[in-house]
Amino acid sequence: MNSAIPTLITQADPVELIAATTAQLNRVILGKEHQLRLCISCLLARGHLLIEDIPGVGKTTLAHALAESLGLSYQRIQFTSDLLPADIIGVSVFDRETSSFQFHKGPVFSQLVLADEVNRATPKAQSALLEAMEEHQVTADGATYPLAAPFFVIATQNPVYQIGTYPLPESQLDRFLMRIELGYPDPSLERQLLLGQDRRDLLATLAPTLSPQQLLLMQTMVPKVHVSDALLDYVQAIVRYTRESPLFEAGISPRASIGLLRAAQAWALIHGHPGVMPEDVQAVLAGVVGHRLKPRDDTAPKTPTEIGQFVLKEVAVP
Amino acid sequence: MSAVLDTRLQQLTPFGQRLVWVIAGLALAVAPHFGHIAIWTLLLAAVATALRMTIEIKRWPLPPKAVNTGFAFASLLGVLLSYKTLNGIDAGTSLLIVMSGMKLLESRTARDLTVVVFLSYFALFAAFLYNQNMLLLPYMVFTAGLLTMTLMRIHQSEPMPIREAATTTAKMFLQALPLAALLFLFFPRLPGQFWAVPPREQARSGLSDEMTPGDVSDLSLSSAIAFRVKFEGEPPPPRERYWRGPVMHMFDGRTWRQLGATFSQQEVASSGSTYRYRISLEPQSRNWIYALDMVTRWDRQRAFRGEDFQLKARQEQISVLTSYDLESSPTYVTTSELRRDLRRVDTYIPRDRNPRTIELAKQIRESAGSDEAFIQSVLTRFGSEEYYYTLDPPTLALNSVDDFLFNTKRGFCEHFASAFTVMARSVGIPARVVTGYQGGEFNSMGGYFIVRQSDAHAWSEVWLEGRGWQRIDPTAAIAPERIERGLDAAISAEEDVPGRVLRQSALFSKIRMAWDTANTFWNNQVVEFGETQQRWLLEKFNIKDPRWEYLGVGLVLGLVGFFLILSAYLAWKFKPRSRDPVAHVYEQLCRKLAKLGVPRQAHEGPNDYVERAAQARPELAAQLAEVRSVYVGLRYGPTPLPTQLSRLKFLVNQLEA
Repeated sequence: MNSAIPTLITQADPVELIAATTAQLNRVILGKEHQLRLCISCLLARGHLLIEDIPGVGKTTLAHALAESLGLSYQRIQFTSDLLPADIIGVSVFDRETSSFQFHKGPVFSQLVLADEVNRATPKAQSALLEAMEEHQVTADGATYPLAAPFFVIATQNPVYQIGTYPLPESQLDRFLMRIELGYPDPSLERQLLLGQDRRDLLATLAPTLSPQQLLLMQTMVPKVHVSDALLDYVQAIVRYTRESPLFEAGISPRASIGLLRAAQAWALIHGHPGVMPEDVQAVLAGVVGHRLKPRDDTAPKTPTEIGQFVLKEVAVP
Repeated sequence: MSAVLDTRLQQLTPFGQRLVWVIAGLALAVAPHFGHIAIWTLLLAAVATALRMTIEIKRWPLPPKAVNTGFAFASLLGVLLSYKTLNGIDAGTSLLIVMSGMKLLESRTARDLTVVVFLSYFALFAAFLYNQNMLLLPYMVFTAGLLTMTLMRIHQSEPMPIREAATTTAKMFLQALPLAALLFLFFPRLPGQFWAVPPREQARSGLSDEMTPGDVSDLSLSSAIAFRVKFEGEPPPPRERYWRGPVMHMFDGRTWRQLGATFSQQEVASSGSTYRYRISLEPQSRNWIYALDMVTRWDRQRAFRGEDFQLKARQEQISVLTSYDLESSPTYVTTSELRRDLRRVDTYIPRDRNPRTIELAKQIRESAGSDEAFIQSVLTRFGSEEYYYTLDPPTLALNSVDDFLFNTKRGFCEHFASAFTVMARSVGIPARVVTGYQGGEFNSMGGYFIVRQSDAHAWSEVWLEGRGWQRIDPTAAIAPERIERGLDAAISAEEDVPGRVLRQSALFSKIRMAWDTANTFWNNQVVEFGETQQRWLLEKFNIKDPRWEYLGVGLVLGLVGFFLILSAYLAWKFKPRSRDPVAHVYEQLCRKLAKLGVPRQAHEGPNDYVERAAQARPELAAQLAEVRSVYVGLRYGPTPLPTQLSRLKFLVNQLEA
């Protein structure tokens, strides 16, 4: 079955590579394999990820473990209310020896950037990051600096009801390909967690299972995963449903529908499917559309996960 | 103003807002009934409506069911007492309106409001039973549109914008129009009274079966239309345009009355040229057809020539606009003899009344020598002496003819006709008074005559030996303009004739004619469209002598065909895009698995579904695994092989359901 995928990678095929990566990550983040795979799909689909959950469920650990396992350069930016755009993209400093301004690159120039608690910063700082995400480059003092490749942003966000948050507006939420929740671990896994090693120590033991080159290669393979007419029908039916349903204020954008397809392709790729299956779409659906649909009133499902599940149930597979 | 109203509306609950719309629709639907049904029913409905609205605004609870039921029975009883029946148009409409109000009072759900809207539709269309006026049509279309919009908005969970509702309603209206036209033209029109609009007791102005001085002049003040006439070919000159109504024989010194039926049946022979025409009578409370003197041909199934040559419809009342095709001949003679008993009636005058008139008549007869000469000299006397033709004659004393001839000398046509008839009878000439209409206004736009109540007229007929009944119109002697040019010309300029100044304006007269032409078109083509017209239309389509049963069956078949074609079109339009054979086999698979007790859920993907089926039916797991991989490869994989399809078909067929 895997022969259907063009073997561009000589070392091993994506399924095995990703399985190995997931297995390693699973040692650190217990019992969250689905979320880990979503996370990797998002990366492969060249999207950015938003993790929304209460503090302490392992958001930061996940980001760090991912960077270690994928062998990516990693920077963490803690967003606070006094964070300035320069703190993210960098700053020009006057160099006495050369008598000129020297641009000192900010943390955004890493391959994997963790924007921690992104909704604690002011909109100005938020938009500096989001612009970089969109453009894949940074312009400072008239010069343009390309960002690293691969470039992947994981932003974490506290639920909006918490104090001191600046919720991201819809337009900026739309820039995140996926939004996921980690949630509490199972009781048995939590017990394991309580008994086991410190996660921070575990992180140090992680070795890269994937090179950045392999990652880039897989990113180019994602759009080539076969998409059949029947599947496009299904994707369009979902898109149409979100646009016509009276429960939501607006349907999902064309950017989001492309994102949905790419994410499904990435999911199919890492699961070794010959083409994209309806199940692939369903797997990523809640992550892709959940944060983009705004319920109109109390009768509509409320949380992003509920919304995703609801849409999934409402649209028939052709 | 509208902003204030808007904010007031916004304060209501969504149900309250819908209620306002329903009430507005109901009010518009009931409005045309104002004036012809018992006023208390309208008031009661209005009170119920106001009460319901107050309850809504104040958020009070609705009245308990027992109270509502009590009210409903009380109003039912009220209608029964008012009309002594629950049957018929008036009682039925009243009941409908009262009950709409009662229904409103107990409305708490969208379903209740739907019922009220449907009652409103009924009330609205009931207005057509009373009045088929062209002006009512736009009003009805508007109100029906509003009701439809309301109905639509009641059933939307989301507030539906008015503009959207209006657009949809207009679209639905246009879509329904061809069907409505089809039904209008081809729905079987049955002959007979059962299907007709039942006659109603209603006061309508028009000629009556008796005549007292002042009656006709009173009627002449009304410009209401009595009937319209369209001639085939050249119309008759004004002096021949006498439209015959009831004939009066019995005189008590003041009032003229008709004789009983069949008493004066007589034969008539006509000669010379004839006029063919179509007369369209406005609704009246009688069955009188005002035919041109003397009518010689008519549809014997629908009309008969009764006593005194008066044409009558074979129904009690012409309650809706009705047309007849007639032929008349202006030259005719009565062929049968005047019966003796009739001669006695037609020469009778009360001996103790009007002595001066009788005296005068006898003197004139003596000096004249013959009956013909007597008539001539009486007419000459009317023309030469100081008699005035006026719309406003003074009231006459008990000896009305004496008073008129010798004192007041001012009269309208009925005074002159009455005086002349009395004088003829005084000298033994059989004479009678004929009432009807004279003249008519020519509408050059539509090419037909309009005869109004203001053209009401009275003249005399005398029996001359050998020549039978002869028309003598004394008005022609005193005011020849009345006959030639109508009432406006005959009445002197000082006197006030209602609307005369307006009628003399060319523009007004043009507008009036155009309006009447439009009305006539509406009346003839729409209101009057009945069995005859339908037959004519069908003959155009080469269907000769259609029986209404066949027409009904044909119509039903036509409708069924229409809806079949429509549904076929819709099915084609909304069919799933491609009938891909793989999808077809998959559907077969789903059906089989459903029979095995694992029906597919609509949102389930093939992998999940077949997986679930395999778990439910472990004995099929191996088979299903292959089915799944072949199907998924075919449907979602990149390069399906044709052999895989036959493999899939084979595998699915193998499955035992």
